[in-house]
This record gives sequence, C-alpha cells and structure tokens, in this order.
Amino acid sequence: MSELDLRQVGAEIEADADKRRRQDREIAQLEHDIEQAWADIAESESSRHVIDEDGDFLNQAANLAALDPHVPIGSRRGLRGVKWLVRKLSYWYARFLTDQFNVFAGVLIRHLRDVETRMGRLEGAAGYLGDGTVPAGFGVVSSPPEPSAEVVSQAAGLAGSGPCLVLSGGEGAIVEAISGRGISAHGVEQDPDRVLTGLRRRIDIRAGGVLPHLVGAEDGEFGTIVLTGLVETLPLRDLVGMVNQASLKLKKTGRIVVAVADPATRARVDAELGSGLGISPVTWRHLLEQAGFDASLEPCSDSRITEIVVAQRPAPPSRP
Amino acid sequence: MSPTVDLLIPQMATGDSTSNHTRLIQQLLEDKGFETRVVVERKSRSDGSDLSVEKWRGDARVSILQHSIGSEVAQFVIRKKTPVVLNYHNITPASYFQSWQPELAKSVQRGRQQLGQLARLTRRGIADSEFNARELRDLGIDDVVVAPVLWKLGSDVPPSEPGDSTDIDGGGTVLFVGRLAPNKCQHDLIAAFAVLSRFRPQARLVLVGQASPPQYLHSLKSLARRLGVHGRVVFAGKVSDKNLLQWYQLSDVLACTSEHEGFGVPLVEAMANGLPVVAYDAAAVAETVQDAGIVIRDKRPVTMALALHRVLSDGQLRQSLRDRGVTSAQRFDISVTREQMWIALKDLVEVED
Repeated sequence: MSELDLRQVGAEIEADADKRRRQDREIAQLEHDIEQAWADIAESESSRHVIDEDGDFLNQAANLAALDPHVPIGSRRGLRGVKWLVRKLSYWYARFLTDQFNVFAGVLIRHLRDVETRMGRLEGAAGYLGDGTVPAGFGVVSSPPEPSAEVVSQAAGLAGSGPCLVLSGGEGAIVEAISGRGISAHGVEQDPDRVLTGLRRRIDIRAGGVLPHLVGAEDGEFGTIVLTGLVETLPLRDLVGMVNQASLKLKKTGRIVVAVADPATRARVDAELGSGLGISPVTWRHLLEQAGFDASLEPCSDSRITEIVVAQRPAPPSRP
Repeated sequence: MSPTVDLLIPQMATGDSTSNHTRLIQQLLEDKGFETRVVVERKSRSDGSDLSVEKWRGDARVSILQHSIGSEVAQFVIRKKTPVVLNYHNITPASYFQSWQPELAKSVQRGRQQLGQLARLTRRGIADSEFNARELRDLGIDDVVVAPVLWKLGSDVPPSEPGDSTDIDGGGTVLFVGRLAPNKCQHDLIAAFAVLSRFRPQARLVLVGQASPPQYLHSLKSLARRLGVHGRVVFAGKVSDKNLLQWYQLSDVLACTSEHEGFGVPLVEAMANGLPVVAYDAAAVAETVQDAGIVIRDKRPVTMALALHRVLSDGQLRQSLRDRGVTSAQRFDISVTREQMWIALKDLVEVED
C-alpha cells in the first residue's frame, strides 16, 4: 500500500465522476440542480448587504431622492459672480422640476414604508421564524443544565413509538436512553459544545435550531417529540408555533413529552432577564389541550423539573 | 535606544494565526538574544503589543512587516519609506468579497496596492509557500526566502485501531476547518456533501470556523436546508484549541474546497492528527499537502463526493493517507520551521554594529 500513487487515485476519481455524469442522467441533473440552488441563494443573499449594512434602506433612499437645486457656487470672486448669475437664471426652472420630483419621491417612499410595515405585521401574524437558528432567549438567560438522571429516565420512559425527536437534545442523554429502549431517536441541539460532547459518545445529535428543524421535517414523521432543554428559553410566540408544528409532524397516534422547569422557580437575574421566555408545565398542558391533545402532568422527583407533561391525541370514537 | 528588531503587524489578536506567528518570531529572536518590539496600529494593554505605529520611528536594525490585507501599518512604512523584511501571507483576491462585503473587498484591494509599493522597500521577502514566493518575485523582489508560518502543531495521534481499516459503515464525519468565507468555498463542500449523502445517508459534515461575512454563513445554511442536508451539517463556529483537536480526532476525513490558500494551516493540522485529506488543487494547497493527501483538479459536487466516498469506504487508502500525513506534517514542526525562519533572518539581524 505504501506504493500507492495518490495522483493516480485522484485521476481515477475524476474519470469515474465524468463517466457517471455521462452515463447517469439523474446524477448530471442533480449536480446541475445543486449548482443552480447555490446560484439562486448567492444572488439573493449577497445583495442583501445593501440593505443590512446601510441601516434603514428607505431612509437612505429618502435622502438620495431629495434633490437640492441650490448648486454650490464656490468662493472665488470672479467665478462666484458668473455662477450666481447662471444660477439665478435657471433657478425657477430647476425649482419647478425638483419640486415635482421630490413630491413624487416622497409619495413613493411613503408607500414603500407602508408596505414594509404591513409585511412586518404579516410576518408576525404568520409566525415568521426569521432565519430561526438562534432561539430568542439563547444567551440572555442561563442555558438550562443537562437533564438529571431522574428526568432522563422518566422522559425516556414516557416516550411512545418511534421515530423520536428530542428538541433540544443537549449532550444526548435522553436520546441515548430512548435509543436504549430500542426506539429510533435523534436530537437537535443549538450549542456546538454540547453537540460535540454527544457526538463523541456516538449519540445521534444534530446541530441546528430547534424550530427550523421541526419546520423542515415531514408531516407525520415522528411517533414522539420530546421538548426540553433550550425550549425553556423560547418566547411564547415560538412555543405556540412549536406546538402547531409538532402537531403536524406527529403521527396520528403520536405523543408529545415536555420536560421543562417552571420559569417561576428561576433565580432573580434569570427571572428578570427571561421575563416572557418559557412557560410552566401547567401552561404547557393548557396549550397542548387547546391544540387538541389529551394532556396530563406526571410528577418527577428532579429538583428543577418537578412535573413532566405528556400529551397524546384523543382516541377516535369507536363505531357503534 | 531602539531595539534590534521591530515586528510590525496591523493588530495582535487571540487565535489569529498571523498574530501567533508574530509572537513566535518574537520568541525566536529573543531566545537568540535580540531585543524586539511589536508595533501595531493601535497599542492595547492586553494584546502584548509595545508601540502604536504613529510613534514608530522606523530606526530599528530590522523591521519585519506582516502583510495580508490593507493596513495603516503598511501605509506608515510606505510613507516613511522604511526598508522592511516583508513577511507575506498572501492577499485574497477582492473579487471574492465584492458582492458579499464591499468594504472588505476594498481593504484587500488596498492591501494589493500597498504590496506593489512595498516591493520597492523590501530588503527581503519571506513567503509562507512557494506559491506566495512566486508572487513576490513577480513584483520584482529578487531576495525571497520560503519559510512556513510558525505555529505550535497541536497533535495527538491515537494509535491505529483494527477497525480503522474497514469501511465506515454508511456514515463518516467530513471536517472543514477555516473561516467560513466566499474564497474558502464551503458552499462547494455542502454541495458535494449533498451528493455524498446519497451514497452515505449517515454521513455528517462539520464546518469549524468563524463566518466572515455573516451573510455567507446565512447562505450556507440556506443551501444546506434547500438541499435537505441541514440536519447533518454542523456549524461549529469558532472553537477553542482543545475542541479543535477533538474535532480532528472525531472526524474521518478533512475536505478542502478552498480556491485561495496561501498556505493552509488546517491541512497540516489534519495531517499531523492522522486525518486523511481530500483537497481541491488551488493556490498553495497541493504544495502544502504534497503526496500525503488526495488532491483533485475538479471540485464539482459529484467529483468531490466520490473522492470523499472513496476515502470513507476504503480502509487501506485511509490508513495510507493517515501514515503519510503524519510523516509529511513533520516538515512543519515548530522545531523545523523555527530553524527555517532563523536562517531567513539571521544575516539581517546579526550585522555587526
């Protein structure tokens, strides 16, 4: 093996790729689609800086759109007189034109502002998630610690059928316990350090935002969704969106398990900073019931998480 | 009394390879008994710098300028017409940033303009790689020496395991280390990974490094989502040295699709840690990897994916790459590179008063 010619290996790979492109139309099409996907994204994203970096784009536009007919005439004596005369002669006409243009630009910008405000409201109403990769409370309040052995054992025991999704999965203790029961499970975690720790233990923990991951899943994909960890730091709007999404992504007989601490038990700093982030198990139960689940509270012996919410769709009425 | 050597650098920053390189040159020269001083754009108490460039008189025996981007420090050298030793780390072409971050594009453009002006003031060019050396020679600098970046190679090669010579069953972790930037072309790697996922559904891609510009990171995430691989792509961000070492050990192959590398520190780190390397042949990449990795001339998604698949499925090839990598990386051990740097500087600093 020490005689292996790596240039030759590289050339073989390139030749193999060319052959596949020629022979397999699907592969060639896939490659084309991927390249096109990047071209589309790069074009739209790279132009975004014009708006992002200039602050309020419309303010910039408003400034640029206001023409000023007062031409600078400089300070040189001879030239100043000539310029003054030229300016005086052409002033009334320039003023006439610029007034009209400024009125038109002002109306246009007012309309654009109006559209922007409406779109903002629309996005808010639709539960728009932005790029969604960072939960709202991430970094503001202390990250919840890894679940205790009691929480792990109880949450894993309450998981129903698979596949099971754990949001957020932390270092993977709950995923590991559920997998240990022979149920296929994976977790999603925002914090790269925790992902790294989980991966080192060969647990299926994937990096990413909890909401985008849920939104990107197939409808009816999961048998159980466990909500825990960073879910404690999300605002109500995201939690409602999460319940709606989880409801879509669950199988008909699916189950939701929520293992979170009650925000009322937070220390003072976290309580003040995290005001409006996270909800108590009782409110979770209420929220899930509103979404059409049968929900109950199971006591847990952990010092932080004292109750775990279990929600399941009601059984369909039996035929008479 | 001025010190023997002034080390000029735009700024000293933690975790920055040029800053670490400067510190190690300083250590080398002080070990040899020379007095040194670090000159930066704006002196800070905490960064180990000694002088702001506004107060720099340029009267040290030797002034060594680190150059990789447009800077005020380089501008001072040009304005004062001070002869310098130009330690060149290459400048990324502005075209990569033009549409993403115009101000960065301007900065690298300025760096290139300054490079032309600095060429006339350069006593000796020190280049990280032959690739960089060629650029300096093309600018008319005759005295150019190649001496790699100085850094302490963190490596902890675990012993070979019997299972290591087998196929990594349906999965495998592909690693990239470096800034997430348009010239590093991580989008090509995600594209290749999307194809690789067809052959290896359990495979995972880990991108370690800070994003610059942030819109590029946003685009990478959008691409991963669009291609349906977002759940298997880990954006690990900037990590500590300890975590970086762990990523090297945890991964199965390092992939590099960068189109512009003046040297390629992560390539060497990967090799030193026994991680096989698959890289696109651009700039100084082939020169750094030499015959210890698979270097391909075409990085279209299918080609790159097949190269990664080959490494992940062929245990013998992996073992060979691992062995060659560890041997090859010894060229860049600090004891070797320190000596090379000393040879590059010795006759300049040792002139008798």
